[in-house]
Amino acid sequence: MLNAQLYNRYKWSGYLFFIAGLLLLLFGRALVKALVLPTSPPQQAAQAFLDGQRALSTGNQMLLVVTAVALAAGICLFGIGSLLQKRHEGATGIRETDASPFVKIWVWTHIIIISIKCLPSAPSDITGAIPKRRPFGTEYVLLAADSIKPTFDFYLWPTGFWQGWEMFAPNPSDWEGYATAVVFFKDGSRKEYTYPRMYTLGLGIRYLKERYRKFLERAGNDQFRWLWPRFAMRVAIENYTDRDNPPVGVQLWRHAYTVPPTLTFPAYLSGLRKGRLIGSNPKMPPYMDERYFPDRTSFPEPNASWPIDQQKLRELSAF
Amino acid sequence: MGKPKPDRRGAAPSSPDMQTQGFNLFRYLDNWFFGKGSPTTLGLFRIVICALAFINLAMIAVDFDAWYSERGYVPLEISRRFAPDFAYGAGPFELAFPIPRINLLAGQTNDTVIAFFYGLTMLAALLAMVGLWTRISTIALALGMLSLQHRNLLILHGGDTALREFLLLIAIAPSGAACSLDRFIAVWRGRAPPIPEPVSLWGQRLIQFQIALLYFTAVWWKWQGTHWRDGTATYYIHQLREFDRFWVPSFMDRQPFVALETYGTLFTELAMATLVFYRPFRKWILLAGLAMHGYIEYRFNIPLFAFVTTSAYLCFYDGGEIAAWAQRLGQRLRRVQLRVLLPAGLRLAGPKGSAIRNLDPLGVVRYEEGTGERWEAYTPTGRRREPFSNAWQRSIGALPLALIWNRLLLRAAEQAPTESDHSGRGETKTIAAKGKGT
Repeated sequence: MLNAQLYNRYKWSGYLFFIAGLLLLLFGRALVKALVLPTSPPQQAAQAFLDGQRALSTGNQMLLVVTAVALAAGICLFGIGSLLQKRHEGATGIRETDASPFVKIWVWTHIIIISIKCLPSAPSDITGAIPKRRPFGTEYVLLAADSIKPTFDFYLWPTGFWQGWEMFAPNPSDWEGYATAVVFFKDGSRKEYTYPRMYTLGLGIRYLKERYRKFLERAGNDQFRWLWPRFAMRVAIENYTDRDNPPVGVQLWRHAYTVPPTLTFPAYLSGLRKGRLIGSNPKMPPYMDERYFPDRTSFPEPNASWPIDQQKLRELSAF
Repeated sequence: MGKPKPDRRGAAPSSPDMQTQGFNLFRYLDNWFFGKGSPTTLGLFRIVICALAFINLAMIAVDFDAWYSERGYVPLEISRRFAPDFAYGAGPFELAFPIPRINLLAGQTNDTVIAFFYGLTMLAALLAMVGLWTRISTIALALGMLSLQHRNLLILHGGDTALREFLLLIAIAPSGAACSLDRFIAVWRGRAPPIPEPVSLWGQRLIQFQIALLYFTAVWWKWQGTHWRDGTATYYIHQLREFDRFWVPSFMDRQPFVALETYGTLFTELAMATLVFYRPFRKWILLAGLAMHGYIEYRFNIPLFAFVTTSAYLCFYDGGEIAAWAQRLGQRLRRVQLRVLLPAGLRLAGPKGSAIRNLDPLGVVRYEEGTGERWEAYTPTGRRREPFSNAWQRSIGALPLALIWNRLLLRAAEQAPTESDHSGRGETKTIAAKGKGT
């Protein structure tokens, strides 16, 4: 039987095993490389390389097992320690309500990691191979943070503690737009489809449908052009209402303009001296219509459309 | 020797050690982060954030087919391409093996299974909200929300990120120690004292830190942009029609009001990260934060963002402060106060009585021993009311117990001790059904 009084030893052992496993996970491969790869004279280099690769492969397999065992042992021992602590507290009637040292270590580590990770990126003119100017003040902090941020991804991404608070920053978007599609059917007919547009929806329904706008932020962006075929397929699925007349092609259109700049506050203040109390805004330009998928440079014909995979369409649609 | 008084500048009381040994920053921070206090705030925050999680899930469920099915915009292959299941390239490290993301839906393409999982997550949100099997339900909710968010990252906004962070924190903190059915059951069975035991407040402090970090880095990010500096940033947001919600007069989109909104946002966010920790300013800074988010909620179509963020403002108040505020509010609400008279010889006492009284944090229902045969209830003006339903309506904590409220009240009524009981011969009996009123 396990001695409940020794729960702390189990917890600390578990903690140390877990940390050892974590270190092996992060640095193990580098360690194996350093230990296994031999330094041989040049005349034996080819054979040494092959031997080294074999040893490296074996070493990595062993590392995988050792790391997994260390992590599992750490979690198990810590769990046993926690159970024993409960039993001990039940027997003695004294409950530990102070924060345990493990919680304290985690809280401080977590705070440091998320604080660094959330810092803004250093301005582009002080980064890169040839910076345009020297950094000053807190920019040194941002440069240092940028260099170590990727280190923390192994913790933040899997656990869901990833975050970033650059909302409407560093500058709010000046892209105002919405998307439509033209669906081409088997019988030669066509139909214009408007992707849910918040501005035209009712007040209540737009609150529910806002995710469509968020999705379009990416799906309407050239950086995410790999999303476009799927976007087209979904539009086809939504418009497949007649079994005998399936959509055969889809064009994606965006209608957008760039918001023109307005009076800055310093400019307003200088105008104030001339008696202008309320500033004025420029007139918004008209929407520019652009067929973006399939793109006009590769497919210049006006009726060019993205062909819809008919088999996939049948599989995915309600029919 | 009295208790050390709270320091007006912060939450942590100055201990005798600190007074004799001088100010030690590490000890101060340790005391602030890990010191003990009432778990009421965390319990209340759990209720609010889990309710918001449920509403959030219900809202997205309207378009479940579009966002989570294989027929939708983001099937598994798209989801994997945008954010792989495994963290292969974890920064500068060459990992011994890839670390999987927490995603219980990883590799899942069956829409029915995903829909079932979605439903279970909503159920977990309800259970966590009422505080039933709190530890398990909050962990289930956090895992469920995490999995759903990792399944489709393409539709998430800042409010979703904040919601996820808060759900993870309440899952690991002792959020069920107050304002939960678990606690009601424990008090009812005599396993917990009527007043919640103090717990280490690290969970609440982490939420405070999280909200401060959110605002601080948001300001820093904004300060790097030219439009926030030249006082025109909010003009651009106003011109984005897809964000539009309710009407505002057109002058609000012009200078100097645009600059007022732009700089006001920066100032409020910076204050929310700094001055809010200074107790004399706290209320005013939080009110400014509420005003800012209220305007955002009114003006822009960003679902639940304002509600999720401002719900965390609760954590800037200690549990004792919230309990005292609720009592003060209850005293002011004279019109809703109720005096419930139990049948003669019965009273609400013992663990069960404490559990029933705990369900009324405003303290508007008073249970007293009556002289009649039946249960009766009276308002302060002397009007007679039906006792059971009126006591239930006024006891906020009893809302989830609607179906069993009458039975609970009847079981909580105990026979008042008689003279013979005082002499040590008798024993307290629970009277299950005596003269149910009206």
